[in-house]
Amino acid sequence: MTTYIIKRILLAIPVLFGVLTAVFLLVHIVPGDPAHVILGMRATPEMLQQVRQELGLDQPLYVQYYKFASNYLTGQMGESYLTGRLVIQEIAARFPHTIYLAVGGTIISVLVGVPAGVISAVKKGSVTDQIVMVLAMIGVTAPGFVIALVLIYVFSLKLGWFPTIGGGDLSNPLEVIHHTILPAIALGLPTGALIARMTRSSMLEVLNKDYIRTARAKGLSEQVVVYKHALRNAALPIVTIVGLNFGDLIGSAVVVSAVFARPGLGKRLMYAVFSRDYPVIQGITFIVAAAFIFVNLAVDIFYGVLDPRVRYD
Amino acid sequence: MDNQRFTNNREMQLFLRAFFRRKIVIGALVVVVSVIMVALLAPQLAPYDPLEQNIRNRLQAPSAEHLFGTDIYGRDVLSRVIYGTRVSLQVGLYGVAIASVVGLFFGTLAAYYGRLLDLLLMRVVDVMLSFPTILLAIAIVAMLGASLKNVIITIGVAYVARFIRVARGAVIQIREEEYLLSAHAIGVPNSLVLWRYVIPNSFAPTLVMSTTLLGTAILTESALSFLGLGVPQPNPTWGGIIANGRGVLEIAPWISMASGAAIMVTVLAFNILGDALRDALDPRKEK
Repeated sequence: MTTYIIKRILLAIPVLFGVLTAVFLLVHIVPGDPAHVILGMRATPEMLQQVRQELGLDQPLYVQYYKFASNYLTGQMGESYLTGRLVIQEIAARFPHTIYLAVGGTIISVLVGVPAGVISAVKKGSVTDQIVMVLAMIGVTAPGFVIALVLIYVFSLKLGWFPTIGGGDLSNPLEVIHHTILPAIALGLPTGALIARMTRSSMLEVLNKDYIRTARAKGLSEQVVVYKHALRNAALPIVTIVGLNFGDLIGSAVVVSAVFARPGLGKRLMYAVFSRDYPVIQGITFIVAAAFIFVNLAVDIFYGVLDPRVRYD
Repeated sequence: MDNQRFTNNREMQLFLRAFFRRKIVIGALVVVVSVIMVALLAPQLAPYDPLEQNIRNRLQAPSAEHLFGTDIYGRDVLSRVIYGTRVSLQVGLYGVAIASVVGLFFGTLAAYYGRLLDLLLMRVVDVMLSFPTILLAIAIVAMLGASLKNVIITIGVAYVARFIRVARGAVIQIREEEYLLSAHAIGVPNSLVLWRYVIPNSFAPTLVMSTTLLGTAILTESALSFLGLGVPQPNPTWGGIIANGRGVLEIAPWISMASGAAIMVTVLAFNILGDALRDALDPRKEK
C-alpha cells in the first residue's frame, strides 16, 4: 500500500510542474507585449520599459521561467497590480469560502445522487425509475448559474429564507452554513444528477451478481442486501465520479459564487480578469488546478484502499 | 466499426433502428433541427430588432406583443433569445469542430507512432485536464480578450484534450489487429494505412464525443457570456441575457428564465442525441 501511495504521489509531481508551466505561459500566449497589455492604451514608452524591467520581461524566457517557478515553489506568487497586496494573502483570505462551497456542493450531490440512483436501480423500469432518470437527465443539462437564479428567486426573494448575497462571517459557522446552502444546492444538483446516473448503472451491474443472489438466498433483508452488499461493491465508480467532479466543482464554484456575490476566489478572479491583474489570475488558476490534482490524488489513493486489485497494476 | 458498415444498406437500417430505439430521440432531433433553423432564420423569425431600445416599454411582462416580455432597455427578450441561438450554436459547433479535428489528428499520431511523442502528448493532456474546464476557459479568454472568434478558440482549446484521449484510445485498441499488421506486411504505406484504416476507427468515438460535448460547450459559452467574458454586450447571447435579467430578477424574472430555458432545452436535446449515437454505434451494447 505504501509503495502504491508513493507511486501515485510521484506521478502527480510532473503534472503539477506542467500546470505551473501552463500558468507561466498563460501570460505569454497574448499576442504582443505583455507590458503593453498590462498598461493598456495609456502606456508611454518609459512606463512600458519600467514594467518590462519590473516583471523581468526583458530577460530571456527561460530565465523568466526559472524565476517564476522558484518563486512559486517558495510560495511567492507576486503582488496584485491593483491592490499591491501579496497574491498568496489574497488567495488565503478567500480560499475557505470556495472550499466550503465546493465541499457543500459535493455533499449535496452525494445526498441527492446516491439514494436516487439506488432507488432507480432497485425499481428498474418502474415509474419511479423513469421519473428519477428524466430528472437526472434534465439536471445534468441545467447550468449552475440558472439553478442559482431560480433558487434565489424562490427561496431568497419570494420566501426570504436565505440571504441573496455574501458568504457570511467566517468566524460564525452557522452564518457560513446559512450563506452556503443555496449556492451549494445550485452547484451540487447537476453533479448529483450525474452521480444518480452513475450509481444506477453501477448498481444494476452489481445487483445481477451471484453473491447478491446468495445474500438474498441466505434470507438477508432487502435493506441489508441493497445497502451493505450491493452498494458497497458498486461504490468504486461512484467514488471516482465524486472525486473527479470535486475539481470541476471548484471551477463551477467560480461561476455560481458570481451569482451569489460570494467573497470567494471566483469573485476575486473575475475582478482580476476585468482589471487585467495577471499575477492574481495566475495565482488563482494555479491554486485551483493544484487543488484539483490533490483531490484526484486523494481519490486514487482511496481507490486503492477500496479495491486492493488497483494497487497491483 | 469501420466505414464499410454504412455502405451496406442493411447495416444502415440496423443503425437507424438502434438510433431511434427510444422515442425521445425523435423529440431531441426535432429540437436540434428547430434550433438550427431558428439560428439560420433569425432575421425572419425575430419579431423585433434585438438591439432596438425602447425605454418607455422597459420591463414589460410577457404579452401577445412581447411573448417573453422586455428587458431593462425595453428590448424584446424573444428576439434577443432568437439571435442568441446564433452565437451559442456557432461557438458550440466551431469550437467542438476545432477540438475534434485537432484531437483526432494528435490522438491518432500519439497512439500510432507511440513512444516519445505519445509520452509527451499524454503529459500535455494530463496537464490540460488538471484545469477545471470553466477555469481554463476563463483564463484563456482573459488573456485573448472577449470576442466571438476568441470564445470559439477557447472552447476548442478547452476541449481538445478529451478528444486526443478518445482518439488515442480507439487507435491503441486496433493497433495490433491483424488487418493492420497484414496491411503493413504487404507494403501499404504508413500514410495510407492511417487514412484508410486507422482514422475511420477513431472516427466513431470522436463523433459520439462531439455530439455529447456540443451541449457542454454551449453551457461553457453561456457561463462565459454570463460572466461577461463571452461575445461582448449588447450582442445578444443566452448567457448575457441571463446576466441582464439578474439585477431585476425580483420584478422581471422572465428575462433570465426565458434564456435559461433555451439553454436547458438545447443542451438536453444534444445530450440525448449523443447518448443515442453512442448506444447505436457501440457494437458491444445489445440492440
